[in-house]
Amino acid sequence: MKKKCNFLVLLILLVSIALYGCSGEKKTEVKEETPNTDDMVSTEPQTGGSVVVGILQDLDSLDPHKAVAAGTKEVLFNVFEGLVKPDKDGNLVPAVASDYEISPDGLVYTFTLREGIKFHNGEAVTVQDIEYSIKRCAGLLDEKDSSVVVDAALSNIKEVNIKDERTVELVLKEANTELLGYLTVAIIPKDYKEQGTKPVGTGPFRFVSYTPLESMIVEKNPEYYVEGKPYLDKVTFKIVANTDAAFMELQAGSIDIFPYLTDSQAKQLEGTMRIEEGHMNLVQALFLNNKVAPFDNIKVRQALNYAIDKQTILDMVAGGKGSIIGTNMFPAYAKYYLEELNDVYPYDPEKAKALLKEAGLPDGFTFAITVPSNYQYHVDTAQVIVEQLKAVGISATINQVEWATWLSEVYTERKYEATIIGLDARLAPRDAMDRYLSTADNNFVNYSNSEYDATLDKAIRTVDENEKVESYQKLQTLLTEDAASVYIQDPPLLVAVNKKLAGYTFYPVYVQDMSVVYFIK
Amino acid sequence: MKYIFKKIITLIITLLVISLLTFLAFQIIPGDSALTALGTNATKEAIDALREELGLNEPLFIRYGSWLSGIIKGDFGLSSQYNIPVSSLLKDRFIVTFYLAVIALIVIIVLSFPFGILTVKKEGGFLDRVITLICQINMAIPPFFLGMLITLIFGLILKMFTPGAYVGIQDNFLGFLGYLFFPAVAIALPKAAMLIKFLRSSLLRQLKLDYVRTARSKGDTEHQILYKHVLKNGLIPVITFLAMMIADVFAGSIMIEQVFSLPGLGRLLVVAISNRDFPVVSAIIMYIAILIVFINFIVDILYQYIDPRVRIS
Repeated sequence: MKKKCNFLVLLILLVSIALYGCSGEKKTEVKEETPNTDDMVSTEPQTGGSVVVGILQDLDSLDPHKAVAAGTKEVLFNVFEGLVKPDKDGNLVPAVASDYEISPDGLVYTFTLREGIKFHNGEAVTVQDIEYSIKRCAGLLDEKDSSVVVDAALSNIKEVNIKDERTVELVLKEANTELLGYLTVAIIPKDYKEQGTKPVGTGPFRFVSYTPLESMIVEKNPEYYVEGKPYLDKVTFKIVANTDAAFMELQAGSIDIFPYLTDSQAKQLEGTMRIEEGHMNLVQALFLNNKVAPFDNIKVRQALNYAIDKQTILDMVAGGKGSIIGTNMFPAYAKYYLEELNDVYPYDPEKAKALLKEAGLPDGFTFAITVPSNYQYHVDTAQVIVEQLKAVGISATINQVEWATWLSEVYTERKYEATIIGLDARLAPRDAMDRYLSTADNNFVNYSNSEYDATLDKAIRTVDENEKVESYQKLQTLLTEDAASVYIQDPPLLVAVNKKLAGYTFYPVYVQDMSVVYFIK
Repeated sequence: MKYIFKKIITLIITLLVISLLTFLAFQIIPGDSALTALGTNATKEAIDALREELGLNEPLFIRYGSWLSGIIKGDFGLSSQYNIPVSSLLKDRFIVTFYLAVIALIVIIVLSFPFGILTVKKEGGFLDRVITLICQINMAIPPFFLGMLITLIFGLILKMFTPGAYVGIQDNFLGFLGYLFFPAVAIALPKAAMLIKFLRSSLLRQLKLDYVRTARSKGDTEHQILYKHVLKNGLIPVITFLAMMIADVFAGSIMIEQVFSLPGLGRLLVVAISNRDFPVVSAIIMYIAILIVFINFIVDILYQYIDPRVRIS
């Protein structure tokens, strides 16, 4: 027996020595001092340093005009700029253009090119580059590339005219005072063929390298036109396989910034990292297919609105964070958003039952909620909803599908009963509302209301600001009154940030702006 | 010779069937690459144009035919997601998975042979029972969970490696191997446990055969019996088992690459499937299929030399 034990001890010793050898020099790593770092936020920014940002999706293209995924755009925001770009308050500020003017009738946009602005390859930006970039995104080039995403909103551009060396004029087919929100599309060098492999833009960082499934690395653009920015010398966007792996890497210190924490992960990281809290700027809703029975009956849709308790959903899936919404818009659209619509359908299961009775469904009904399985947040929400609906006699089932399946079956072919997803929108109120146009390609809820169509047309065309705001509020009210879907919340965005860093800023659009992040002295 | 010829024919038919299945599977699952590539803001015209360009509107067999002839020429086409040739995309990922599998196999062999023989020597004893129990536990834990446990214990608590600090093979070869070691262990442990159990039962079966009694009466020591006779005969089924395990190790790496964020073939496969990137998916599946079919082929051939009885049947 003793001999056996000796052997075992020896073996364990050998294995642990072998394993210890693997750890190499890492033991000597000095732990950075943790106390009081929160008090140091007020200290001044330091220039230099490098940061690793964890991202969950691989990039779908390095060419900004071909990139589709929100996960790609949020990264490319650091490399490319449009004529204008969004700031943190949701305003559009001049970028490649130093100035712009919109004609009172909303038909002509005139831009002045910023003086001395250069591309990352050292060449000066010209009005020809602007003309090329806008035309490429509007589908106006003679030689079309089918993988360039032509923006439906930009196809309203009739012509792009070069006025002089520094002035470009966009002439529209129809009056539209909101086009500026779409002119954040990247300005790229004319006829540059390597955009997909060696992208060149005008942003605060320039491209260094990209390895599929590993990372994209960018470095400081020393000629950036904003004085003192960016602070960091190098940023690595590291592609992580999933949130669990990212969570491990955050704890190990391989990632400095990670923007998609779950509520429970955020709680565990408190103390070791700073947790920044913002909004995802999404409309998360239980979208109902308005053409499929029984959701073609407004009473059934309203019943569902009464039967779902949004606050409980927030408490269960988001730790009580997030903002409840009552229509297809979120609070970041400060000027247009109608908050009182949140109270139209208070939680009232009795009323829901009464409405179901009126609709001829006193015993409830059965339906399936199709949810893309890669979004755990939506799957969790679905689970809470299923439980809540049981109280009014409706039995819902959850049908988890892959993202690609969701895109083709739910979003494109509209073969579904209900689904949960988060819709994003650009900095133009139109982008949030125009999918409910009865003829819209992306009207996947099959909403149809002629009054809505007419109001939307008016909202887009009008040049009077008050009338515009009024029209958009009317649109929101119509959606809520018709109970087009069950609008739930704008989910919280929880970002883990290394305590040595400061300056992380939330935007009303989905971007990771690294030019404002800095190390604390 | 006839035997080898027969095997080669089976090999080609197997690969053809696999290629057909891969192709058909992709036609059946919903979702298409044009739609996934252009996303939610795309117009109908744009999707149609891209479908046309990717050749998705051609009839089924024409697509299968042109795809197959491409493969035979070694041309897997362009990745619809990354827009670069599939072969260059695969090359770098393959190296990662290859090293991961090799390290895992070494760990499996290094662990299982000594422990397997030990359990036979101490059959029914305390050590035998402890090892069998540990094996049982290891086989029961799913590899991805084992991967997470290893990251937690060795990465975060003992700090023997930094999770996520993967270094490329071209940057630092030793660092690269070092980072792969723990993922490889996560793959290897359940497999090693299986091999230990398999080896144990195979050797014990041999020990009960008549020739062992003969050897004993001849005056051989237990040591001689085990190493000179039993091990040789007991290894034959183990070799087949090992060959099958290579396939398992590759399959296991798909999961483990997700847990450790390794940029290998497995992760590429998962990403490619969710993006409906058919050229990449088909290339990886064919790659793995060819590898496994060839390993089995070689094992079949080797078998003849180890055990002449195979040739007769």
